[in-house]
Amino acid sequence: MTKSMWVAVVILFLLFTACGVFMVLLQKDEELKNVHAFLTRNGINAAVSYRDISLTVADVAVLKGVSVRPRALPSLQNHTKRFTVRDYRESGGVPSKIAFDAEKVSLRLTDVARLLKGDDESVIDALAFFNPAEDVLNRPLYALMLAGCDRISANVTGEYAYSPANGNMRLKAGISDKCLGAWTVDVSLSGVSNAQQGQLVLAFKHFLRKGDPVKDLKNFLDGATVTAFSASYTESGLVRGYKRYIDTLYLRRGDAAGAAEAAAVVPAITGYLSMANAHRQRNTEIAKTLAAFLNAPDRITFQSKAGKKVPLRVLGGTFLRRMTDLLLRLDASVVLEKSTF
Amino acid sequence: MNSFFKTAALFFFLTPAAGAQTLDIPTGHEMKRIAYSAKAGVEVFAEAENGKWCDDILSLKIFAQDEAAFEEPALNALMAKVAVVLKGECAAAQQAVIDGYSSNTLVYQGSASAADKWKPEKGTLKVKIRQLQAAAVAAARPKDGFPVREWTPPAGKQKIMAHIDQSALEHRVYSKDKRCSILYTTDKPAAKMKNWFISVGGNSCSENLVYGRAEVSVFNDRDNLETTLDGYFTEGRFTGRKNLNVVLLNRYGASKDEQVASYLIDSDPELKIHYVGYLKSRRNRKTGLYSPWAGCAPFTIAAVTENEELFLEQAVTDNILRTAESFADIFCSGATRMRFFATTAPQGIAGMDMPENAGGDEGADAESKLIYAAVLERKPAKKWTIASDKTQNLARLRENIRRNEDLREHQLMMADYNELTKADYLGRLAYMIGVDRIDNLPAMLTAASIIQKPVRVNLLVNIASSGLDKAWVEWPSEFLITQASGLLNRQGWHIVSGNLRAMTAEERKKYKKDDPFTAGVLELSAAAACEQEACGEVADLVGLIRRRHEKPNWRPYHAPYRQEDEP
Repeated sequence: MTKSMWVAVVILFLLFTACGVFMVLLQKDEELKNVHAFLTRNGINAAVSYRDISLTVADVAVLKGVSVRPRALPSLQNHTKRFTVRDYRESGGVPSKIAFDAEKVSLRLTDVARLLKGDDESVIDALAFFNPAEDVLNRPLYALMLAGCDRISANVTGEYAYSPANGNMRLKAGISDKCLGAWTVDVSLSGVSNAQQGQLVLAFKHFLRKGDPVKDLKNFLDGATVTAFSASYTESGLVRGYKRYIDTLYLRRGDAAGAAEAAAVVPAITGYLSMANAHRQRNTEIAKTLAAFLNAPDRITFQSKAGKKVPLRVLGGTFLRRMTDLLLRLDASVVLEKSTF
Repeated sequence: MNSFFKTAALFFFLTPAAGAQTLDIPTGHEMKRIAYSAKAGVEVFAEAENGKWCDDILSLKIFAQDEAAFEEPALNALMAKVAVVLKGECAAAQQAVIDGYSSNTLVYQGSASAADKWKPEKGTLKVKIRQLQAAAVAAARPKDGFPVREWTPPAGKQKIMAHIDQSALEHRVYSKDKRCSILYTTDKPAAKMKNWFISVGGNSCSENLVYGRAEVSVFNDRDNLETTLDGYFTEGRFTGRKNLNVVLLNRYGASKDEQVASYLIDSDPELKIHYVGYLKSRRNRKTGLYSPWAGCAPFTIAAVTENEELFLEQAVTDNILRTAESFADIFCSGATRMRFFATTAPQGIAGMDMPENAGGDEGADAESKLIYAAVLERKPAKKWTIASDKTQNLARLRENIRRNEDLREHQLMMADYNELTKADYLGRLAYMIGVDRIDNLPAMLTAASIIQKPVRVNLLVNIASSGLDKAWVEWPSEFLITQASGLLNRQGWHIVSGNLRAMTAEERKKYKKDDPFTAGVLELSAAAACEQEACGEVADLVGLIRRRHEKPNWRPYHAPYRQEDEP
């Protein structure tokens, strides 16, 4: 899995979490039978607007024509055709389950970049000297744009489950977009306290109101252990677009030089993996699989081995290093498949 | 047979007269080999006429495999052995003119005489002169003569007519019968001189002008005797008691008080030098009359040439100075001071033919014409010596400056070279066209989309098609170039510069471009066509640097001008 994929997973996770918490709060105020009053009471009515709302007897809330005004990007134009929340459960006053799906979440990456940019020269310099490997994580937004993505119209799903009694949490999310491709991630955690779970709610509020959601989430997973992990990506053009950008950067025109570069990928990935785990044969197999995916991107799946557990505290270094270490410790398999995306 | 001759006999085979080998050299002269050494790779021939080579003056041709044979110690040794041969075979010989050849090229000219025990004079400078001559001849010049700025000698044997400059203060004054005239130097206006006349005694007035010895009385417009000119004339100009039979070139004035005339002393077609002498006539401030034309105090002579390289070699410069000294002996035998200068123009050099502070070309222009200047002095019956503090070799100074500039540029080029060996392909492309960087199209289109302004870019592109004012690129992606008129005239690989912007919605619709980050428009401001696929010529670093600095012969690694034998 590339850096950009991991970044997308994290973004998705945060989006899922934020939306999930939003729906938890919404359900908690169900007695009020008035979502608008709920938003007003939580001070986020100014950050969320919608055209229509409906609540069914099956505890399914549906918002139509939703737009969100994040505190960091108040003027970002976005629109969600339909936002549905279902299966809300509580256990001892703590949200224990919720699921949601958002249909056609639309925004432009260019708009996001304009709102986040500094002066013009810094934008030009950042892109002129963009490093296609390192900057995938440092500047994921630019990486997506250089891959050719701009208009996003994604379907997003999310599931959250938490057991206050034993501190087990499961987070599941998916996103599907014509440009970004189809991503899924499913993580099971243990050792998550009520207080840590509550930080998710706080982070969501701060996403829309004054505050720092990143700070809220900083210690969210302290002491937690990953008990299962799976993720998948299905190509729809993102990786190919990024490869096309790299080809222009290195003046490749589909000639033998490109093949030579591809051949160099396996040792490079193997070397990187070996820094986390000395199992060179397995590392080489994984590297070959990743290289094959990069060469002909389609569907790739990461699946942890049953029974493997990894405490998050043992992971260190950069985000990519931590993720790599996590997957190797979980003895994750990497499988390529044909897709029909 | 003494021991010396034994040695010589071992070294040389004396050629018996009956079996003498002869050689027909290209000039048609018959040559006889009088000595040779296979070991030393040397053959000595004597020029023969009607089969007879022995005379009081010999013409010797020495052919050597190695030019080193003409260096002083080797040649001295060789001539000592030739002397033994001459003593036995040609006792009448008193002098020998020697031409030395190596690889069929004349590399030495000199002479030797019996009086000096056949020790050859120092003649190696001819080698340098020959080399320089070859360089000069190689330069594109007309076959008939060697023109110089501001004066071109007429071709062939056409008579040289003196050019009279407007600054020349002189009037032609005729005799009453108009059969005779002189060129009289005066600052009086032409209108006033109109009715002046002369009376000539003792001269036939060839060509209507007084030449040679004459006694000329000059009368003014009131028929009063103005002055009497008793002495010699050259082309109608009074030279006093000095009989100068010279060909005048230019007549001009440095100032009201100093008038100048130049004359052609000699032309050296070998070195492409015209030797020009200068005469001066000075105004007496009390009487208002001008002195007779004189050129011996000091004797002023110029070597007019466009071959500045002659003066980069001290040996050649010395040879030219010796030539000038010989002219001083001919034209001004008693002169004790000589001003010599080399120049590309025959007149107008301040401090030489002109006074330091008057007339002529000024500043850098005059400096650029002057090649070399020296003042020579001699005491009676002594040799000329250079008054060193007056010497300036501008040719060498200019050459030194040029070499310093070359050295500095070499250092800059080496710095470029070292930098480029570490640079990537794009860095070399950027160097090729002199820009900071070569940009990436998707990256810059993304930047343009974000900042919503055109971005100044330099791109490597492959032009697929070009029209009157626009062109389409096929690599790195299909995008449009506008304002291409006059800048792009063919397809293929180019490095283009200009302002890049994203296509507008209308343009995307018009050109059916859906991909937002390849739908760009470049407003072209400059374009450089490449010679090879993807501008592959940048792989040749040396060629790249040579083109950039316009130094087609530059080579990296070592500094210019280092001699082969230097460490």
